[in-house]
Amino acid sequence: MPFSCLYLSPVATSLIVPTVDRVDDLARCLASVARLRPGFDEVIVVGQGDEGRTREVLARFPDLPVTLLRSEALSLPRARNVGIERARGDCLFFVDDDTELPPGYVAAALDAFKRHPEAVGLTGTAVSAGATASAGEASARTEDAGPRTHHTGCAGVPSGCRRRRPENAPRSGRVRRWAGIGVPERLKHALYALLLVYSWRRNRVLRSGSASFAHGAAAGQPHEAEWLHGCNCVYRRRVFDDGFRFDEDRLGWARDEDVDLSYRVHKRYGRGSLRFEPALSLTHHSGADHADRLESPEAMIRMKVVYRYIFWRLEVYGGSPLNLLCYLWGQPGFVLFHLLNHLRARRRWRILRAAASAYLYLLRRPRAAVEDRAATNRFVLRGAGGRQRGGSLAPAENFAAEADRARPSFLAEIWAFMAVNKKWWLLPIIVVLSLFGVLLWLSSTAVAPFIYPLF
Amino acid sequence: MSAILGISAFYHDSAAALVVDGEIVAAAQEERFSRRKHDDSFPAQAIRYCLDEAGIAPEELDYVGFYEKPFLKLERLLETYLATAPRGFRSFLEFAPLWAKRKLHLPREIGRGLPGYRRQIVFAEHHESHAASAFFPSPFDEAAILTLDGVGEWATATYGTGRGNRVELAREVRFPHSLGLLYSAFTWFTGFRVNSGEYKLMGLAPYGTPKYADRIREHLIDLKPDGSFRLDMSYFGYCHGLRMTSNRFHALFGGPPRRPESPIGQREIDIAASIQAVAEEAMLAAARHVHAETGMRNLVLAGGVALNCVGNGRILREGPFDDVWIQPAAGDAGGALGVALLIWHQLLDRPRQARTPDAQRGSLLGPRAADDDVRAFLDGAGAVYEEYADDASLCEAVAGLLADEQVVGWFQGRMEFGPRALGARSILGDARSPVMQSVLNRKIKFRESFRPFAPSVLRERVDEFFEMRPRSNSPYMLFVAPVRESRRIAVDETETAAQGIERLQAPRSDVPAVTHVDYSARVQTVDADQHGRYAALLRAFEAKTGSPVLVNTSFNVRGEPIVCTPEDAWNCFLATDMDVLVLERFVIRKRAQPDADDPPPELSVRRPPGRHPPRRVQTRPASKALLEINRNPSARELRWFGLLLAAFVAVAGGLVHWRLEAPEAARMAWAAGAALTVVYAAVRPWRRFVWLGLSHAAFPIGWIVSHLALAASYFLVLTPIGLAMRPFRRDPLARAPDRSAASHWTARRPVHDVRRYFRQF
Repeated sequence: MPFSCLYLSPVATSLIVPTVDRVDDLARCLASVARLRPGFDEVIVVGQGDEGRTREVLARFPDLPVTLLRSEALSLPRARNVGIERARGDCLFFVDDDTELPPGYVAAALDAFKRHPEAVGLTGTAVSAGATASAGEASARTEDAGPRTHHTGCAGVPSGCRRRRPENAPRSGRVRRWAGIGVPERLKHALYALLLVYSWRRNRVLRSGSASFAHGAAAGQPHEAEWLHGCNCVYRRRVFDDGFRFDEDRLGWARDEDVDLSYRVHKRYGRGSLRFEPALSLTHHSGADHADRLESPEAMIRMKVVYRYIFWRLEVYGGSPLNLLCYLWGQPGFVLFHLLNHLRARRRWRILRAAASAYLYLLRRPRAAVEDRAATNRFVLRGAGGRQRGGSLAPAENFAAEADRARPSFLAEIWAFMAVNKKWWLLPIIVVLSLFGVLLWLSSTAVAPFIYPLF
Repeated sequence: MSAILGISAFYHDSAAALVVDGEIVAAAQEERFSRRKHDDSFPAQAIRYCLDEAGIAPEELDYVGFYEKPFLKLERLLETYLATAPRGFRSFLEFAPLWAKRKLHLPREIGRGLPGYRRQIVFAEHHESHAASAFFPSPFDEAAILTLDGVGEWATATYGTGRGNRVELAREVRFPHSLGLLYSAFTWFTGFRVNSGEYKLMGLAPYGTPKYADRIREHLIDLKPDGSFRLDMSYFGYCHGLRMTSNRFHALFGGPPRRPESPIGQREIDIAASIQAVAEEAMLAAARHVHAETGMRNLVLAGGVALNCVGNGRILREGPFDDVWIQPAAGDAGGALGVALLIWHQLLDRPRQARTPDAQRGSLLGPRAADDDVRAFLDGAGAVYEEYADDASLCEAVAGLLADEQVVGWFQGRMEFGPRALGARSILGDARSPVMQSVLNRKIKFRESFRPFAPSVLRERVDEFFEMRPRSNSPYMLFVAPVRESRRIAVDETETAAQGIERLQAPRSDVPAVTHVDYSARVQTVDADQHGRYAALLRAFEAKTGSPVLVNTSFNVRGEPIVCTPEDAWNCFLATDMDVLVLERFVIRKRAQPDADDPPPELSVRRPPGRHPPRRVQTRPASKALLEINRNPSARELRWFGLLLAAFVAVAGGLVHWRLEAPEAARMAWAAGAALTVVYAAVRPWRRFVWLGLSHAAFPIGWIVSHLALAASYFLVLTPIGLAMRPFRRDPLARAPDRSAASHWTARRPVHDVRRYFRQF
């Protein structure tokens, strides 16, 4: 194969698939990998869950050159990095475990690299399995109205798999609803563009920290990109030889880890180093854990807000007031987007609250949020119950995260106490006691000689 | 590194404990630093010591835990007032300012004491803290847990199990039914101080016969075979007043309570024996029930009642458990340690490896004094001392002095955590001496002569002297054991004329100083691993005399906390008839001091000048007074005061003008006020006098107003609510005795949400 790096190593292409106990998804993915012509020279599955079950799946594909690695920490970026350390190929492919690759996938990537020797990374479309085959509407991305943020809405746990609808219905409800009330796609896009969560420019990283998708007609044409989708991308080996890795401080299903890595790569290697290639298209299924994950939309929303902020602060901000303005301007749109995007109205209130708590967190410690990532993660994952993280988010982590919350005010705590023990008749006494406390407090200040004569 | 600070404060026995990565790094009671016995103020100095020991700052703490849940306690107190109002106003007068000022705002109070710590504060339940303090340091992988004390929030007794790194309390007995409060009621009735006189009652018990025990069982307490109990609240006063017992109680026991410091009569002695018998019975019954319920082979105990070493000894000897471990700081001070360990093991889910002999490190968790500091202090104090180069020569010399029946103040290493002196801050004597007991009581401790002393004995020889298994480990002086028959000397009670508490004078064994009238002793075993230099001393004493037993009593005089620093020890040494003071490797003899011929300066405790570290800051005791005059206002307060004064004058003049329509008077008032304000603004030194003058003038009004306000809240708000609630609700305190119930244990409601540990309820 006329591909430069092919000659340097006996292994040209490595596929890295992180997974966590999603055996059916993984089996479907590996089945499609087995059908590839040409195939991968090496397939690395990084398991974070029950090793036995994953092994069973791999046993079904004796012909695939599969290696199974383990990553204990439940972190999608961490799992990918584990794969990177072991991969020997000159091109490292990353897909999620709930994808299905078309037979010409590898060929398309190698062909693109051949045509663009200056490129170090490629991405393509991910057609939602639910989308009708009329992918002529080109990008499956449009299903979600373009803005990059939507697909962050549904990343599967460690697979990092994104954007899927639980019901797998064609053209998910939201778009239909939007269409139903007669909002044209373009207007919608214009609104998001105004709010800086979206751009007509394709696959760009915006000053607000958001990243735009290729969609519509653009999704049918190859073009330069500033970032690559994590569930469908390929990098040349030299990127990792130069020390680039996914950001392991993003835990769980992680957010924006793909934008983070690829944007750093883009900044390092310059324009043209990353490309969007429509031929590099794969099918994306809903992960089996989808319903589980939405059990804790709060953690998801916090993760989106906080990880996005960290990316923006480290890679975009650069001290520029314009960037700060754009970030601030972009956030209401970001929240609005998620509110509208969310499936069940009942959850919207919870989402709003979670977003508010995340912004408060950032407001209180704009610098510490970036510097003390452990504390930030405790905050982000607070309340994310067991299943969301493959059963590993122990109560202890909840406890640790909870400790970082602000102390409740006296009134708030008294109120919560009343709500729990329902002894409402104690309330007047406690109120009187508190007022008396205020009186005593006043009598220990400079007001002391004056308050009592007032009586 | 994960540093966790536990705090217990604001009730009695404030303390702080620091756990770093699961290791108990330091723990100390505030009283030792503040020198106020049972100090209940915020343990600022104990916290500072703990942090210094680990070399960290408050902002480096990962968690801070408080040992109980204040709002639940408030709920219990308010429910008690509601159930007893309109009685109870006098107790409300004490309660209201304390809670209104501080206890309602504990996070704020703790936050002030720990500047830099910003995370939430953990609040564990009182008995949960006790249970954690008993189980986590214990040598058992799994054990039954029994906690018994006065009262925390609602629970007064609980039991459950500890397994691995978790404690779970299953059932409880709730306030006002409390074994601890029952014992305290008798302590109060017999004329001792509640919360500290319980030991005295226990020490008094062996002199008497339990002739009132049946009366107690019949009238006061409904004690079930499973160790659960209810009290008949008509005999007690602690729910609605400042007295522990009611007139009905006094009638039952033939007269009013003994006045403190008046002579102890036979009635008090027999009452002490009776309540001790009932308490032991309850403890044993509870232990047997807990054994049957949990099926565990080992038991851990905590809570104030677990300091009843006679009862503990009976649980160990007669109870069904193979082994018993008791938290040495079983009182509320231990709650600080308990909550810190609870956070580490249970809430952070860190694994726990049970250790032998235990993880409490001999309870030697307090501050130590470096040799150089001791030397500097002694030089500064002008003391004549001998310095010994090594342990062997030091112990040899001190053993010789002890063998000469000298009384030795022994100050070594880290201070004990808990109420007992364990060989780090101890007064020692030869247990074989027949006069040692009375010498110690009268000349050194200045305390009641009926109280016996405890022995320290080398662990490998404990079974030769006491009815204990060979090599039993009892390093914390928490079990009372009988003296071996072979060691006893029969005393013919009929021949000696001694009655009552004089009976202790007759020697009853070949270690008479530590043998109580019932041939029992509160044994401390000593071994080299846990006690270091103290074990070496006992060994040296054994080599010299053949006896491995010493009298060990706490290094303090009556009414004072145990000494903490060399200076405290020195002061105590000077104020008593102690013969020898051993500070680390320095031996100071009273005889050798320049002013040795002077009478002991009992009243004028000498403050040595010099280079020793500055005296600890004396914090003001937490004021229980409703109102106080601030005698030293800050400059800022004075500035504000000036502004307010001007405004007040203007407003008051205006009012006079408008209301009285007396322009002359108004002008006069204005003029006077303006003059005062001008003087205030111009003459800086006078400001404080103006402040004080007005404060004093306003104080009587303030006093009346605040008392009226309290009376109004009690009689116009609380009482009507209480009266209105009574017909509609079942008795929230469950005061009815209900002797027909099979058991008084009630199930505890488990709390599953880990967030509740950050709430005060």
